[in-house]
Amino acid sequence: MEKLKYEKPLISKITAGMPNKFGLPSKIKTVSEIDGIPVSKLMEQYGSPVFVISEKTIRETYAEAKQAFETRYPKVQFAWSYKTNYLDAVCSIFHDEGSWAEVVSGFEFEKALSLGVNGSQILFNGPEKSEEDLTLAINHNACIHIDHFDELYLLIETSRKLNKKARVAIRVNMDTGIYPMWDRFGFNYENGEAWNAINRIMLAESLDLIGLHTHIGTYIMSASAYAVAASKLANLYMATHRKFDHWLKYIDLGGGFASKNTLKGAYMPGSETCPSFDEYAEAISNALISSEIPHENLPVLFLETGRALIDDAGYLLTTVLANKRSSIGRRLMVIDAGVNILFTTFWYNLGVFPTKETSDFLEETTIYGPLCMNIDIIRDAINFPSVKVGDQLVIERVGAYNMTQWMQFITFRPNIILIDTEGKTHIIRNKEKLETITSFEMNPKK
Amino acid sequence: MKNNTLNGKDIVDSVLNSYAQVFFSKSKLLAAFLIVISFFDYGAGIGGLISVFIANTLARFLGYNKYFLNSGLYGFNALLVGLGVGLFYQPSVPLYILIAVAAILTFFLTVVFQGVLGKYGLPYLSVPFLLAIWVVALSAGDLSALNISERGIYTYNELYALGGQAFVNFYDFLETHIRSSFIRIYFHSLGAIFFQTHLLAGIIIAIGLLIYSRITFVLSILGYSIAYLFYHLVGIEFNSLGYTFIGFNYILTAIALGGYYLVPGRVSYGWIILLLPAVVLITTSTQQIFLTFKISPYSLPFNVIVLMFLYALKLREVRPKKLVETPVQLGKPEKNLYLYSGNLKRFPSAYPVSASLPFYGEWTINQGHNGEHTHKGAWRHAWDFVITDKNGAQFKGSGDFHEDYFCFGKAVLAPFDGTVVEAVNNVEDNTIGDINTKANWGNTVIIKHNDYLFAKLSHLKFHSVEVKPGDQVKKGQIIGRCGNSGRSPYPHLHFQFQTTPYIGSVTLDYPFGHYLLKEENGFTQKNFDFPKNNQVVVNPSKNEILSETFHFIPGQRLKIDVEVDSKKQKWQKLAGNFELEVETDVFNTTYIQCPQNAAKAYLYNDEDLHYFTNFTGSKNTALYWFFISLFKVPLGFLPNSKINDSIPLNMMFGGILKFLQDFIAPVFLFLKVDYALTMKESGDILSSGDIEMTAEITKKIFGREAGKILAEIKIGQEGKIEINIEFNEDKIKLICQNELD
Repeated sequence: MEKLKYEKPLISKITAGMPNKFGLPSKIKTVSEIDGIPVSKLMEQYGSPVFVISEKTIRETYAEAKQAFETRYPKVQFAWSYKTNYLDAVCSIFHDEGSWAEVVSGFEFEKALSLGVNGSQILFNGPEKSEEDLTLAINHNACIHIDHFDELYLLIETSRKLNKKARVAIRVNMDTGIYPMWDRFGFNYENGEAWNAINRIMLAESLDLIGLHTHIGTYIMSASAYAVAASKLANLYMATHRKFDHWLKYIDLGGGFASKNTLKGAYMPGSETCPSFDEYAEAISNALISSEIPHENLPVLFLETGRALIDDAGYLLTTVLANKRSSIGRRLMVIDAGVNILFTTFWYNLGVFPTKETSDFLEETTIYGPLCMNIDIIRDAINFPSVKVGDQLVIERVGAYNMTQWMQFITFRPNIILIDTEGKTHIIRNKEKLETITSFEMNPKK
Repeated sequence: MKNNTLNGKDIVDSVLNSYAQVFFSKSKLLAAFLIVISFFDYGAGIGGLISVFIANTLARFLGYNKYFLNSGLYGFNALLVGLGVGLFYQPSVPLYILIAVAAILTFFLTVVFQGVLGKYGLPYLSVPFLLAIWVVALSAGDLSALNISERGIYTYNELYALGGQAFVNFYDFLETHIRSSFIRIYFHSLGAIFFQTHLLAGIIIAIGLLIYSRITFVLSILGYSIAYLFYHLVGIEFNSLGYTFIGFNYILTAIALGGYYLVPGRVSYGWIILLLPAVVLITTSTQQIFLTFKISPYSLPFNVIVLMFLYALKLREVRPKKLVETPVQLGKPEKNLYLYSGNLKRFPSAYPVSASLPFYGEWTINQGHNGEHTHKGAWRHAWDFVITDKNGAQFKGSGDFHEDYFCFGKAVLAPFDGTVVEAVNNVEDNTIGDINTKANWGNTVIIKHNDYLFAKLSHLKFHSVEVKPGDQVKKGQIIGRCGNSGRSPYPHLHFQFQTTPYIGSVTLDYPFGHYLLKEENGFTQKNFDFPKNNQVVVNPSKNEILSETFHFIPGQRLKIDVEVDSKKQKWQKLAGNFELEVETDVFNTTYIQCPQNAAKAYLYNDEDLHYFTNFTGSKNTALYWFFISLFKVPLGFLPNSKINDSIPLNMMFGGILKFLQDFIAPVFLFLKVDYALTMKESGDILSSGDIEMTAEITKKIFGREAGKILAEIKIGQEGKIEINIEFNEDKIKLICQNELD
């Protein structure tokens, strides 16, 4: 018989027989393997901490989203939001599944091109597009989503200089009944600015208006907001047809679909409250189909959802460095993954799970990262079982934004591993070394 | 307006075709043979030619249809009358005046019968000839100014006059060496069609027929043989045939029904065997009647049987799969057969409505025709559709609730334009596993597409039906949502075609028009086919570039540049710049023609597919290669999709192989040309970017590959079509674009 695990004795207030509002305390789940590969083996091979991405989960999630939309709407196209996770390996999986690329900078544009994406299948968003970027985009026949009038003027000028037609759409912002209303990007719908922009573009000979784009916000937990957005864009779509006898080719509803992560301050877990792809798809396609648009002329529906497609596929494996008590006796735990590589911990109460069976007893704990900085808190309060130094933990749903917004700070950024659909592991980004950092530095003093 | 000036080519065509039409042909060679034969008796030959001229001139100046005129359809009856009367009497001025009068009479009879029989969709055959020749023959006793011809009695004298001793010797050689009465009477009968009594005429006609069409030749022998056997069977003395000018009735009947008015095939051949004894009986019986008037029934038996049979066939209620009336008369049995055998699959004419799948996205057939659960008996031609994930499951979670099922609540679309005749909306969805046998079909919409075709969509979601009886719906319009009402234990869509507008009607075996069948590495496009159990299907969506490129508009002009990389002179000649024109003819058929070399490629576009349907003219042209490479192109978008077809074998095979194939074509085709088009790059969902396809054309002999042609096709944004054709070591490159550019 295996020796029972030793747990340090602890005195705590008895709450037995007094179910709280969530019911009786339940045992926390353990995550001992990812896609059939033991976590311990992964960490032994690739170190700690380490990011793991599951190709299987990516493809399954994508298939689910695609089916949700394609069985409700005749023409659907996903465009992979590069900023969510632009690792070459990840983007390639999405492109393999048929996704286009949605980029927001010249850098991302070039990255998409370098992955073999056809320029005409790149949607170029964002408020920052230099003349150089626009030239690149026009030359590659990309779909340029104009953010503001100054960009429009620059684009007209650039396309004239190149003597080439630019394929454009405008980004529209609008009141969809949610708070906060994102009105810093694009042209406003309610005050007529968007319609004004459409008129100007339609009259600009060097521009070919082919679509309408909106991105109503991020982590939108109400599918009905998308229905409002879709109807408003449908109105612009029909108005453009009426005035100019021109059918636009697409309506792009952007991204912002919530993943199953739980936002800080949320009352219920995200997995219970966030809409499924089906709910978003139902709202959007119903709004478009029941709009004034004749069904033969329904536009292509573009979706730039990032987070909801990749969050679940990413894991961060980490190791317990220390257990300690605060001045008031609160349990504290230090792990080897910090906020520098886990940016989303500022937004979410990320799920942290042990990899081995633990006892039923959970204690409220604060989990700190390894940085010598006060802000390095992974979870400020989590009911967690007793774990020992050296125990391995898994942080779930970290596929979105962490691997693009992370920073090199105090320590090196770790390996990123991909588990492919056959269960083989591959390093898709190497752990940094001293030279990674210093090779970019110049030292005049030496 | 077209100019009305006389065109020498038209006149020559109309005269030659008048001769060839006697054998339902437009072959110039056969016509030349026949003219030569007709002049074996110069009096008759002149008479025939005069009649043809008179009839054609009348048709031309009275303003009758130019196409019929040039095809010889106004001339051939007059020709026969001219020949017949010319043979009767010694050449003289009164004779030719009589012939002229008879020709005028025949011409008007032709027009009248064309009008009368045309209403019933029937040909007038040689009915005008019969009436005219009887008119003359019955008056024969009174025409005292005319002397009865003595020709035909002293054959050798006449032959000597025509070609001297050598000719007589040659004829004598034939006479002495062809001893079999079976063969002799066959040749005599053939010759008798042109009122010639001697063997040589028959032999020449037989050779002419063989060169013109193997099927016609075989039919002439078949018809004759059946009659010969029947004569023996019932004991009619057969030798009399040779002298009574009526043996040809059997030959003409066989040619007309076996391969011309019907598409040649085993069944049409079979009917020849069944019908010819009847022709024999009509011949023998009418002979007795006509004997009292001292005239011959001529081709009466042939006319009676052919008209009767064709008319009877037209009254069939069920659209035939066998014994089909030639849909497009190409003037040659082989061509009709080769085109038809492919078109039978390409354009099943029995399907006037091209229905699309009634949903968005990929659905799985959960129960097909003759299904294991409920699609049995009178209700066997139905489909149940569900949505499955990639593991084949129809639901997520426990499957205990409607919402767990992927298909539940998904839009259900009208498969084709029509009128809603029934809409039930108030049956509640069942609990999963339960069924409602009272309102068996649940919420149901029935759409009338035409008088005999209704589509029924059942088990829709409670209160989801968006249409009501009387509503006009368009193909693809939402009519309701997939649900679980009626006899439905779990959510699914029941779809069936039927001939009546009622809920509970029996099903009709009718296919979907165009859909994509999901396969391991892509999709195969299916046309007028029946999705089977467990298949995953999806509607194709249109690619704008392809749609525009293949939307040829009458009057549109294209230019085509041809570059050739080949050592063979044959191919080098192809190089150059050509102009193409798109036109639409009176039959509403659109074709592309190349005025420089009179080639025409006929096409058809049903908005889902572009088809080239037929090609006429020289095959050594750019247009021919254009036709072959783009034989069938789907206008839908989906990379890796594939489409298969067969090109009529006469388009790709020639020479001895095709000559041999022609003989047995109605029974068995050993030559085949497969066409496969693979969509490699199909632009994208916004239809931007070039389209790249590969057409693979494989010639097969007895199923074995005997040559392959590869055509790489690239279609650019402005509808520029670039085709790189490669076979053996030869390369041909075509660049085709609109002339305006």
